[in-house]
Amino acid sequence: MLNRGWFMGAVVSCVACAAVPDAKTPVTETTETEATIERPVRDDLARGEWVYARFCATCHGDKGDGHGPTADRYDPPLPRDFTKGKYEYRSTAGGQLPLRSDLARTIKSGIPDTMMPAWGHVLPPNDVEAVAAYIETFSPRFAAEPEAARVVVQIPPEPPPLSASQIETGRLLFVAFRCWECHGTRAEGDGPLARTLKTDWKVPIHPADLRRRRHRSGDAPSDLYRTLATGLDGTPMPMWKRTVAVGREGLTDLGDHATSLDPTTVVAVRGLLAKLPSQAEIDRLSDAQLERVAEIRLWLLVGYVRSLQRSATPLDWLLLDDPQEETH
Amino acid sequence: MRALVRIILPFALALAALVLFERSAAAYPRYALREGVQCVTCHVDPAGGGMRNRYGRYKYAPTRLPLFNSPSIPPLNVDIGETLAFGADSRSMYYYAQPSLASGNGKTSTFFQMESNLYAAARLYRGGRDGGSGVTLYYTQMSWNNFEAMGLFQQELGRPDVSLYLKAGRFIPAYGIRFENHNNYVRQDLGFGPTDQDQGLEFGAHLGPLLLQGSVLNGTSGPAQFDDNTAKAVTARAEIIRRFGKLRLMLGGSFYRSETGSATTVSGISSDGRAILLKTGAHWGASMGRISYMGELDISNNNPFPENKQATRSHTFQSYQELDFIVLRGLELNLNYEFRDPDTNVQSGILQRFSAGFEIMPIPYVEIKTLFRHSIGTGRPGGLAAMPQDGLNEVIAMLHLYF
Repeated sequence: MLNRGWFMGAVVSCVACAAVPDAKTPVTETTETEATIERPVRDDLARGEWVYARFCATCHGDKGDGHGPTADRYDPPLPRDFTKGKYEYRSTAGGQLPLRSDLARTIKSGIPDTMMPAWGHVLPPNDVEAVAAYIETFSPRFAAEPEAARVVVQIPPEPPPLSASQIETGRLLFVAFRCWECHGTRAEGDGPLARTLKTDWKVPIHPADLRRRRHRSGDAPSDLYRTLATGLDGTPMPMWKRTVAVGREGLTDLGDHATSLDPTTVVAVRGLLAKLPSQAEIDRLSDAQLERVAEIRLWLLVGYVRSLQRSATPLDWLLLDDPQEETH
Repeated sequence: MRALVRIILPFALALAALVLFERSAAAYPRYALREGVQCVTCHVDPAGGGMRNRYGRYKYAPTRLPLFNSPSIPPLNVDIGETLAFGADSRSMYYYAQPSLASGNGKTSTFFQMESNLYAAARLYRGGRDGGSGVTLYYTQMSWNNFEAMGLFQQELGRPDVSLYLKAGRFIPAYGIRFENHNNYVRQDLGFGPTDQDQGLEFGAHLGPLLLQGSVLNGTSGPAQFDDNTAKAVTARAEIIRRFGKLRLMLGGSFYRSETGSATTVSGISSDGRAILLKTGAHWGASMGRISYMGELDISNNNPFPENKQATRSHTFQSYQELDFIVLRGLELNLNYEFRDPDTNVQSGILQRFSAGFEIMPIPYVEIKTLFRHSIGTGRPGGLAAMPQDGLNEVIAMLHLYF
């Protein structure tokens, strides 16, 4: 009943947004991002520099420019260029610097399917913090844009598991928001625009295969929400939090490649759009209500993405997974 | 006499096996194959093996290899400033052998400190992007009064994976796959075993996935000595390791020609004291997910009297196949097959070895290796002494500590 209420509130009468799912335990990350992090003292930076020189510089380079001695030896993505001050995995608004806790999270958890390991299994937490602080010194942006001035995208409490119909709604939103143009109609990362995408540094980039069992910025629902909400700076992945609360008029154009869509899906999307509020109705919403619409739509998309996750097959275990990435 | 053979043979056999097992620290080529990169990614020596560089020591070893890693194990620091670093390998072995020769029922059970290596590398000059170019003095003090010493001149050409190097000093020539098991037939028999360092120059070019190497050497491997003749040995080696999605492929070839050697003058056959030794080999490998396979095949041609067309040449043939399976990170199953024909002109003397074992890396910088090996000889024309390894069963447990 609760799920149904949420679904109805989200899709059919999302103007009012009256029926909001009950919150589970608040996402820890929200409280983390709210924490005030002091600038590092001199000793922390010295420790961070020491850790960086031994554990990070071989890939990211002495100067943090992503050109360490082993940088070009592996397949892309290349190591992050810290001097640019542009980061994909953040809890802050698009275009803003990450919080130090964001850097620490990436260092600690690593980036699956890349050569960035989960350093949290090797380095103690204070070293992770120290090296995160040291990494900030590579870009003058960190000194110029203090953490307190950054807009943190709050992650609302995770809703209960979605029903099949809610996941289907998420799928239709995936089509309506044209996510498929990059990620593909089956979310395999092979959309019609996939081969044309480039990073801000003009390096070709492939959209994520959303069926993968491990996502680069984390697999928890809150991780996926954060990725959708903040976008991935430096890549074509936009900050959906800003644009997802749009009226149905903004979703009617399914793009130049719409002919490649399954006609049944197109009909279903049209049916969904008819139930969504118009732009005029959206415009009359308060900021809090707009926020709620965005949250609900993002959670529907997260639910759909999570439903795509394939379970491991014996073939994955034998040939496709990276066994040396396993942690015990 | 027969009783003497019964007593002495097992000990002699065991001693021979232990000496053969002594080896310089070598790379685990399957790691390079699995990652689709060259050995120099993790090792100071561009030819692989020995001391690990910062990437190998601080990143690859603690994050990609051990069964368990934990922040409660403090990060290792073996660097002194930015220019000097140390490393070490210690392999302590328990060895059990049971010769199954008809006349022998002896067994050997012994501990053996197989390897103790101490490395030092000093960056005398560091240049280029992130120090990718420079001059390094690299020294290894090995057990058995053996050593390697070399000066390394490296120059990056725009990208870290495109570079040239020149090596001068005493080292094992680049040939075939530098398997960590230096007593396998394609290493020991071919003269690239643990004590087969030679002296000279080696040059190489890393061109992305392609590695080209060549060397000019004295051709007098073994204990360090002053070589007072003009004859030289030359080597050439090419290897390419490519990634195709999750699949990694390796293909390579090696060549060695030596004009030195101590040709034994046989009555009636003239000789100027030089012998020509040719070695040619191919190696390959494939890796995907948990499975890695590598193989090497070598033929050597020993011509002790090159000026005499009537003289008999001997040909040897060696091959090595290795299949590795990662059960889980830090626990691997290793299966090997070796073949050796010491003289293809003779129908006897062929040896085959089958081995199986586990390699466990419980925590960073610690390895435990177990191995069972069975040898089969064919022919046995000369009786007992001719094929002492026939039917030999060996069990090895080894503790390897390194940094």
